[in-house]
Amino acid sequence: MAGGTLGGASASGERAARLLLVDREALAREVTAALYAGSPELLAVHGERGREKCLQDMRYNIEHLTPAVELGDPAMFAGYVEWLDALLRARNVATRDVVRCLELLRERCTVRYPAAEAATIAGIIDAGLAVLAR
Amino acid sequence: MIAARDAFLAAIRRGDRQAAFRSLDDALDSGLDLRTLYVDIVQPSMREIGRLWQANELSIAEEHLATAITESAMSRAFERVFVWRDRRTPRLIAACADDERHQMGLRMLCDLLEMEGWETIYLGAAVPVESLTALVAARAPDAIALSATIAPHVPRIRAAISAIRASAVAHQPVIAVGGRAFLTDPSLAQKVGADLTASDAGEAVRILTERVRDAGASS
Repeated sequence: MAGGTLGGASASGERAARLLLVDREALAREVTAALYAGSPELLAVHGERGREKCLQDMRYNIEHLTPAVELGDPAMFAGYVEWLDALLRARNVATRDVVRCLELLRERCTVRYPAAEAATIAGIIDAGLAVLAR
Repeated sequence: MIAARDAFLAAIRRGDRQAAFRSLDDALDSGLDLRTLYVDIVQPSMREIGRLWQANELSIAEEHLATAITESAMSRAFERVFVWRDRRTPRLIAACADDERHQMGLRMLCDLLEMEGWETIYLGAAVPVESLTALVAARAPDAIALSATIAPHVPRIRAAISAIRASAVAHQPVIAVGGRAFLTDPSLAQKVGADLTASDAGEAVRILTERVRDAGASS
């Protein structure tokens, strides 16, 4: 087992995970800015502190996305998204805003990254979105 | 036992250390063993504390208070059942790799193995991989237990296991992984290169004992 091929891990997954690791802060900021630009009412609902929390949550989201991408494990990210949605609903954040964040993250990765890496990341994000569509 | 669990959970939830100590004292006095205390009282109580934080019913400070009280209560309970031994074997090293801070499961595992006669080396939270690998080489344990609660720490466990496998050539330890990340997806244990995982500390004691005995018999 040691050093052998791991379950769903792939070369594009490992490259994509490295990209996410390097770009975490930039991606988190881009997604937060895009979310608030597209839904200005969020600022009225959650305030400036809400925007800061959103940015911090985006950092966490990318931190949880990265190992799922690296290990090729969509269930890992789906489990996280399910947990996150329950946590945020208990704090007055709507599921539709979590969905929007993940969609924006998928878009930003598609813009930034080569097709193979972007597709690997999108596949994992989609597993998270599927949980929220239930 | 359910009454004891309810009493313990209520005590740590409101941050009452004395009541928490009292509830575990009463449980031991009523004849429950350490394994039952840990697996059926402490572990489900801590999972409920985590759920209450997720549901926004406890603050982070209250959750940390509950954790601190629980660790003290476990030390106290272990002290009460502790027995001196001249010779302890086999040997296990337990650690949370890198940034992981959820150490309580490993603490339970070590205490329960000590009760079975093992020698355990408990390193607790946030041990850098290189430092862990060096200690493993120096102490040549029969088994290693690594824990991850959240997914971002899983790749570091994989790195730790591959470093240990690469360095411990003469004496390959049995490697166990556990924690919530592996509980939700047991197949992850194989993906990170571990030999086994278990759903709680009691099951981990049973499986580790079998595997280490088998490894001894075949070498």
